[in-house]
Amino acid sequence: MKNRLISFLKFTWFPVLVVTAWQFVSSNAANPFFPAPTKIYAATKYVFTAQWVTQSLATSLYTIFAGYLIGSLLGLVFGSIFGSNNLLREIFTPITNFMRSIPSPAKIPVIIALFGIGLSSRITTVAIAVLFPVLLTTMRAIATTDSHLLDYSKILKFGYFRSLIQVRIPAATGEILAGLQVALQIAVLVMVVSEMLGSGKGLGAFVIRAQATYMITDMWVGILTIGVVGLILTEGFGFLERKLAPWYFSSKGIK
Amino acid sequence: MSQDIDSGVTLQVNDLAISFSRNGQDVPVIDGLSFDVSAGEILAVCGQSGIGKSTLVRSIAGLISPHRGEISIDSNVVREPIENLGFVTQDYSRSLFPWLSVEKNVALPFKGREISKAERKVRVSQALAEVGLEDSARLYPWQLSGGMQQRVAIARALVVKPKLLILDEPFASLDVYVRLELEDLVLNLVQTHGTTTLLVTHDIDEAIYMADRVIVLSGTPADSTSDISVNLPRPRVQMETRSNPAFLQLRNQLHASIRA
Ligand SMILES: Nc1ncnc2c1ncn2[C@@H]1O[C@H](COP(=O)(O)OP(=O)(O)O)[C@@H](O)[C@H]1O
Ligand SMILES: [Mg+2]
Repeated sequence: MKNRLISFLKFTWFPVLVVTAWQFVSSNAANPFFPAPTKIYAATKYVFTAQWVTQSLATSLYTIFAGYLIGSLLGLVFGSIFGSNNLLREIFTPITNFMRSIPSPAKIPVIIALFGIGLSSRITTVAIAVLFPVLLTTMRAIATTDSHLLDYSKILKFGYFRSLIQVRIPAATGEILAGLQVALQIAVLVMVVSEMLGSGKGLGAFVIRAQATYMITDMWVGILTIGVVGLILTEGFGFLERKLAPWYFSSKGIK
Repeated sequence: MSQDIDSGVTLQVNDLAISFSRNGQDVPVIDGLSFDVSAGEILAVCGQSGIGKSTLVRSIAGLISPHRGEISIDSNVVREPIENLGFVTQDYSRSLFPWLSVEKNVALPFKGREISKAERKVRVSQALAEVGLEDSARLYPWQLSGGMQQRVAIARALVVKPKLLILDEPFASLDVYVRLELEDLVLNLVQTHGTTTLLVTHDIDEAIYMADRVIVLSGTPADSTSDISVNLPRPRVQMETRSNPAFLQLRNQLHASIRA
């Protein structure tokens, strides 16, 4: 009981301090861009009852799930293929590196030109932003499988696919998971940016519109909602990866 | 499958040459090496580190192809790893699969073979019992000590009753007590199954203690400088065998030829 209380305090004292300080400073200052936390909290009640907002949240979640799923699946598949084949890897590494070097927001105009500004365009944007980092980390991880494991897979007389599925991919788990996690953060970023660029839909659009119409408290509700969505996704990812590859974390002594 | 007939393969290495390219140039590592191993024989391969011992056994395992010459197992030229090959290296922690439990690691050589699940289970528990790990079947390799991990690798190599067992410095990174114990364990197992065994080691005493014959690689590129029969009585017993005058004499002889 006492231990629980201590660990609870360990994680909560700092946020509580920040919010309290914010509350104190903002109620004594006249800057309209930093409304007091109590005001923001009060605003959540009416903001979330407005249908437009719940729809924005639903659209954003849909965008990020679909985009992330498509992008990471493609990245995993092509990363595995290129990583296990020297010729394909040599052919595709320069172009992949180049594509990744273009920041995702800079790709958005091209995607809008191709797909318009609708939902599918935003999903494509997220998918492409996720695809390249996942592909590159997967490719490198698969390509650098420990030679001892590859020797042993030859001695077991595993063919190409069996060696890929049963040896190279599991051996690459740690790096692949790290790549997927980075890609998740990129996905949240790109989702918000793409929504801000004139789509009129999603949390990003809600924030931009609130700002443009001086609904500063609403804007804060939107920003904090995006933060909560990002946090839940990251935590959810952490939970899933421990379910999927428990051996990896235990073998590295990670709790 | 004739897996239960206890007899190892014969091995011929004939005029073997292997080179690696280094900075665009072919550097020969082994040149003109020939020797035979008869069925059920235990052959130790000695030589300084970097001389080409691993290269030799990797080519016998079918992992690298020779530039010249031939390796034949039971008169068939080796072009890829043979079926039921036992292969154990020094780096046990890198060749066991950390995502599989001990019993699943040991069951790996059975994947897709025509053998029932029930029989597979029996064979795996037998193999684990033979190396004294029956209580660790459900654990993962990284939960075991180095010596226990190497026992898993040995069980995995022996579970298919291999006709050829290749051990590349299997005990080099283990402490001396574990080493002596595993030497006896392996010796006992290969002798009961009549497995043809190649043991690479830089430890001359270990070579003499375990082998029927010792060859020494030396020179650059390497070939075999001596081929010495070990006529010590079996079963061998650690302290007794090692203090046999014949043991000491063989040891001097080998020392001299490795330095040469
Ligand atoms: N894959 C490789 N590429 C290039 N050189 C290699 C390779 N493997 C081994 N060598 C070289 O071949 C020589 C013999 O190596 P190795 O067979 O591992 O020696 P040993 O096992 O006797 O210590 C060394 O000089 C090593 O650098
Ligand atoms: Mg070696």
